[in-house]
Formats: sequence, C-alpha cells, structure tokens
Amino acid sequence: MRLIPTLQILVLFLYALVPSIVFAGEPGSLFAEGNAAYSVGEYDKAIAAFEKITVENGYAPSVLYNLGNSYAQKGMIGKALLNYERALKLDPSNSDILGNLDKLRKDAGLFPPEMSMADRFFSVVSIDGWALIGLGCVVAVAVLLGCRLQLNPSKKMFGLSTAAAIVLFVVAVVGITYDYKNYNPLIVVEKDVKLQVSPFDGASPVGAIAEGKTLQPLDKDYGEYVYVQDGSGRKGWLHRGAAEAVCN
Amino acid sequence: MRKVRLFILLLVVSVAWLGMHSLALAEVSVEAVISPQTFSLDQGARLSIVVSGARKNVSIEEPDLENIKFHPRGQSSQTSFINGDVSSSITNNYIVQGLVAGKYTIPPITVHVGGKNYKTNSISFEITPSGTGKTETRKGTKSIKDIAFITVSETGEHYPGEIVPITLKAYFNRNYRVDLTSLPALTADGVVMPQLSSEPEQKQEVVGGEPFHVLTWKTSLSGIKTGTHKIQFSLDANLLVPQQRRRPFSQFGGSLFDDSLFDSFFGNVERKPIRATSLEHEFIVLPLPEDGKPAGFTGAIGDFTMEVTGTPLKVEVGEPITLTMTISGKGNFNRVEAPVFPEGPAWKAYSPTSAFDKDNAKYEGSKSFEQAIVVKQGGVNEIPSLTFSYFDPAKKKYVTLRSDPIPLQLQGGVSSQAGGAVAGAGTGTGTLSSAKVDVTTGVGRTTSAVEQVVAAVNLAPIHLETGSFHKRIMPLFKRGWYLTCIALLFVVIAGMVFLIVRRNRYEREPGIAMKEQRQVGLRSDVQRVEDAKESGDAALFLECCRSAIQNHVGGAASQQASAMSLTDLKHHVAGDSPLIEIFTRAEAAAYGGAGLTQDEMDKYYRELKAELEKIL
Repeated sequence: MRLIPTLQILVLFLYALVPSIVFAGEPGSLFAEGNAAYSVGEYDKAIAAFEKITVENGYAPSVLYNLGNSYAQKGMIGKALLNYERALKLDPSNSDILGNLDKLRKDAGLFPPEMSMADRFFSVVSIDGWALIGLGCVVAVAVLLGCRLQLNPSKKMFGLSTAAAIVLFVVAVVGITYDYKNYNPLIVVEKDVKLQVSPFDGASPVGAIAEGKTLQPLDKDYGEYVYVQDGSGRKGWLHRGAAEAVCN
Repeated sequence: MRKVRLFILLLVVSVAWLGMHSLALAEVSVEAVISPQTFSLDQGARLSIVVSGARKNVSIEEPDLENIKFHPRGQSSQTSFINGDVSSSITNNYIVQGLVAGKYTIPPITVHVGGKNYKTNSISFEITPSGTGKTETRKGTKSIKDIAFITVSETGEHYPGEIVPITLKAYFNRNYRVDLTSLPALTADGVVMPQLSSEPEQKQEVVGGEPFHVLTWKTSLSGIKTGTHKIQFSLDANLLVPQQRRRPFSQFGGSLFDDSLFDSFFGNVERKPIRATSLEHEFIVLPLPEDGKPAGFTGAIGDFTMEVTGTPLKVEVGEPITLTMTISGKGNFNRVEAPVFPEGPAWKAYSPTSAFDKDNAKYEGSKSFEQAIVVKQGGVNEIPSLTFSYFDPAKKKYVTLRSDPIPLQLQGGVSSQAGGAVAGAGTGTGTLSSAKVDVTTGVGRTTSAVEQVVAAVNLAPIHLETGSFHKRIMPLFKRGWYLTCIALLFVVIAGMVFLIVRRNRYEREPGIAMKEQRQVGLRSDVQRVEDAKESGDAALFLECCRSAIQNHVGGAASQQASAMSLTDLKHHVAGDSPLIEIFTRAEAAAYGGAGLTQDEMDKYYRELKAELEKIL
C-alpha cells in the first residue's frame, strides 16, 4: 500500500521534469552552437546564438554569463558587464560571474565608488539573501509560536528567540528596501557617452561617462532622455539608447 | 348610251388636264422663315423654305454661314383647294445650330424651280450664350433667374487676412428639375474663399409666390490685397426637360423639341446646361494701420484671449519645463503664431509645436502651443511674462495681451557651469597589460581604457550547462511563490498568536472559559425556545423554557440542572422574577397540558432571555 503513494509521487515528479527536459532540447542545441562558436573565436556568431536563446526562452544565468564573455572578447565592455550583472541577479553567489565582473571592471578602469557604512553592511548579503533571511525569520517565529502552543517552553527563552527572529526580520526588510533602490541600474553600453545638463540634443555636457559605467535612474524622464546619477554623485540627462537596464 | 359615256369621259380628262396645266403655269414664290429668332448656343431653331406654286422639280442651294450649321430635315408638300382654287407648296426644313453667340443674317437663298431661279428674303436672327438666354420649357419661355439664382450676405470693409463670415444661398425653383454639376465658385480678384462643403444645409422657401429649394453654405471670405474688389458667385447645373413624344411633320408644323437633333441621350429627359449666378458685390479691403503696430504683430486679426501655463514648477537647473500657450477666440488662426519666449542668459527655449482645435468653423476655436524651456542658471524664481498682439477689426486697433509671470521653485541640481568640467573617460585610468587602442575611436581620448579590446585571456571559462530559465529578472521577494509563503506564514502566525493570547487569558481568569461556555449554552437554549415559540407549540415552548432555566440558574448556582425544582428556583432568584411564573407554568404544563397564546409566548420569551442574560 505504501508503494502506491510513492509511485504517485514519482510520476508527479517525472511530469514536473518533462517540461524542463523538453525545454532544454532546443535552447540546449543553440547553446552548444554558441559555445562551439566561442571556442573557435567566432564571437559574433556566439553572441547571436546566446541572444537568440535569451529572446526565445528567457534568462538563464549561464547563457547570460557566456554572452558576457563573448561581448568581453569582442571588446564590448558595456554589453559584457550588463550581461554579467544580469547573470548575477539570477545566480548571486556564482564565483565565475563575480570573478569576471570584477576583472573586467578593473581592466576597464571602472572602479566602484567608495561605499558608506550602510552600503558595506547591506552588501554583505544580496537582496535575495535578505529575502531568504526574512523568510527564515518568519518561519522561525511560526515554529516558536507552535512550540509555545504545544510544548510550552520557558517564557524567557521563547521571548528572546522570538524577539531575535523579529529583529532579524526587520533588518532583512530594511536590507531589502535598501538594496532594492539600486536593484535595477543602467549600464552604459555605448562609447563616447556624455551626461547632459538638459534633455535635448546638443545640450551642454555635464561630463563623459565611460562605457560599462553603472548609473542609477532618478525617476525623471523627458522624451528620449532619462535623468540619472553616477557613483560619484553626478547627475544629468542621458539618452536612453546609450544605456540598458539590468532588469527589463 | 355608249356615246354619251364616252363624251363625259373625254370632258373630265380635258378639264383635269387643263387644271393641271393651269397649276403648272401658276406663279411661284419662295419664302424663308426661322423660328425662334433668338435662341442660345445650346438650343437650335428651325429654318423653313417654302416654295409656293410648285409641286416638283424644286432644288435649294443650302446657305453657307460662318459659325452656323444647317442640318436638313426633309421636305414636305401640301396641296389645298379653297373656293375652287387649287394651290400647292413644297417646304424644305432645316435645323439651325449656332457655334458662336452673336447676331447673324442669312442672305437670300436661291431656289431652283422648273429651270428658273428664285430668291428668298434674307433672315436675321440672334444666338445668345449658353444658359443666359431664355429657355423654352413646357411651361413657356422662362429666364434662368426664374429657375435658379444665388444670394450672398452683406460684406463691408475688412482688412487683409481677416476672416469674413458669409452665407451663400442657392435657390432652385421647385417647379423645375435641376441637377447640380458644380459647387458655387467665386469669381474675384484679391479675395479668396475656402473649399465649400458638398453637403450644404437644405430647406424650402417661397420667393415671389413660387416655391424654391434653397441650399445654404456658411463660409468665409478673406481679402489678400487691399482695394475694392468685385465679387460674384456662380454655379453650373442641368435643367431636366421632359422630352415631348415624337410626331410626324404635319402641315401644322412641330415643336422644336420634336426634332431628333435634341433627343435626350437618356431617354425621355433632356438636359439643358444652365448657370445660376449672384449679383456682383463689392468687397473692400482696407490696409492695416501702421500707427501703433506692435513689434511682435504677426498678422493675427480677430478677437482673442491668451492663457499660459507651465509644468512642472519645481525644477532643478537644466530640467525642462513644458510651457503651454493657448490662444482662443475667433479670427485668422493661420496667422496666429506662438508668443516669443524672452531668451537670455537664464533661459533656453526650444521650438514650439502647435495644435488647432476648431469649434464650429475654421475661424473659431483655440490654438495651443507647447514649448520646452530650460533654466540655465540659479536665481530664477519665475517664468517671465509673454505677449501676443493682434488687430481687432471691430475696435479698429491693435491689442496686446500679456500673461502674468509664473512663480517657479528652483531646486539644487545640475548646473550648466558644470558643462565645462568634462571628465575624462570613466573614473579611473586603469590599463590592461595586453591592451591595444581601438583606432576607430581612440583619437583624442585619454587613456581610453574602455576603448581597448579586453584580452580575455584571464576570464573564467564559459559554462556548458544553461541552467534554469526565467522569464524576467526580478528579486526573490517579488516572486509569486515567495509572497504566497510569506502570506500563509503570517496567517498561521496570527492564528497561533490568537490561540496563545486566548490561552493565557484563560489561565489568568479561569472563570472566563466557563463563562464563555455558559454563554454558548445560553445562546443554544434561547434559540430552542425561540424555535418552539415560532412553531406555536406551547407545550414544547414551556418545556424548553424550563430546561433553559434549569441549565442556567442551576449552573450559576453550581447545582445539577436536571435536579432543580421550583423551590430551588425561588431560592436563587428574586421573588418577583418572571422566571418563577414561567417555571410554574412549565411545570403545570408538564402534568396538565399547556394553553398559551402567541402573545404570552412572546412575552415569556422576552422575559426569559432578559433574566437569564442578567444571571449570566
């Protein structure tokens, strides 16, 4: 009798797996093509294959990573960094992505700005990490309350544990909020880009912005221009075509 | 007898022969007649050449006249006996068609009869231009003006470019069928009119006792050069004349319209082109006065108002403001231009766009202009005043509208002064050990590390597995499953907190649980009593009342409910408590039957509920 539920679970598991097996077929072959092209130095072909996978199937960390590598090989720093950042959103702890991102930035002279105390603290964990911590805290509180109902532990221990979980939950919420405001930056993907005083063609420049630079949008836009701020605090108007958002 | 018959026959033959001979020797005369003598180019006339005194051997030299065509229409002969005299004539008929309007004279026409030549009289006639002449209709001859005409509303003195509304009316006599072939057209030099609508207003009017169909156009005129101009309107139409039935040519002649030359192409209706016209009017265009002409006057004439708004009004230096300028009223909006924004060191203005929203005519409505302006430096606290000038023809003077300055709040932001501080490429000047300069953009750039092809020799290698796909890149806390988990957990936590708090309260006040329990019990008992009351069963009602009293009074007194009697009840409640009466009636009913009216049940129910709740 126990076998039947087990079999049912197994069948359900297989059903869940089938789409991913089928799904992996087509993009899988295109992915292999892209990798083959990359390995022989045909970076344009590799880029085309990886871009096509992304358009047709969505975002996968390794596809974005390989795409970033291909752009980096072609010297398109902005596009490379953009795709590394996207890959990092989906796989924050991937060492290859982190490593290439860091290396490319250093090689391109794109040093990150100095971080404040709050920046340092909240960057210890990624935004998804804070979300998981928050979820963990909520689960912990639920478990503690369940224990309180059923087992009736000591009030002191219950109180301290619950308080700690709540405090950590609040910190996680603050961490999410803090990190979210910088969650979707713009990456400059064009060369010879300038920040402008006004959102019109030919307006006076504020300064040049290097390809690959990360900018934060400031919730203002006008026509084809968007108001942004760079890491050093400079603000200005940027043409939309010069940068792409990490999250579409 | 035979001889007599022979003699009579010879006599008759002789008389006949003599008669014929006498006829042959009668005097011949020729005459030419044209009818009508005045006709238009789109009409025709009949020319008849009558040869009297001849029965045969007649030939006619057809006349030859420039711009006139003669179309033969056959010959007819006629013999008449009047008072014993015999006469005969031959008539040759022609249709006369004119090619050019004017007055003509047909010279005497030569007619050959029996070897001799005779000449007709000369004939004069007049051909008028198409549609202007009189028209032959079944109802008799009518002037075009009786059939169709145009009227125009008065015009007076105006200025160049001024839009002058007018009303054009075309009248068509309803007794005639008219088919329009064009819209009214203006004949004028120095005055223009916009395209007329092909769907004018239509109504009926009586003019001079005759019903007319009236088409009305509300349009406008505009003088484009100064002076006094003659204007006139005209439109072309076809008059549909029913065609008469064809009759053979008889001695009495036939109508012009019997002739096959004028057969309608479409069967029984003949289309005669006509032109309806208006009287000639004067349209005076005066020059605009030079005195007092504002510098910013662009030619707008009419009556206008101006409104100016700007958004946003809290901006940083360099941030664009959208200035909306709306000119409303009536006049020549095609000459209304955007007020000029006063640029200076503090402001930069860009080209405006315009949109015209007309009300019910092209010369009424509002025209909006949107213009982007940018503050270039700090210290600005208002958008300056704007002016718009126009000429009012009613007041005969120039008017300049001025908007109020709009307060502006300037916040800190990008300054144009920073425009000079062009930073180098990026914030750093890192170099690659194996970098090479991209020659397509490297010229003039300083340490353009971004342009250098990154030799990816030190990059981590590519991955060989795709991993899982995501439709969008979004943080974990925005994903559906995460939010669902959190929501469910919060619901569970709320539930558990509620249970814990309740338990703690029960622990602090043990009586509370019991009280709650009794409350539940009371509600249940009261409900049963009510149900029994509703059902009208008095015995059941009293039984439920007794049970409720025992449960709750006994419970409050910590006595077993079923064992509680009337005596016990009297110990636990006041002497005048209605519970005693109810309990007594209930006990009596248990043994001897119940007789309660509905009113009594209602009363007992209310009293029972109130008393038991008090006890609780």
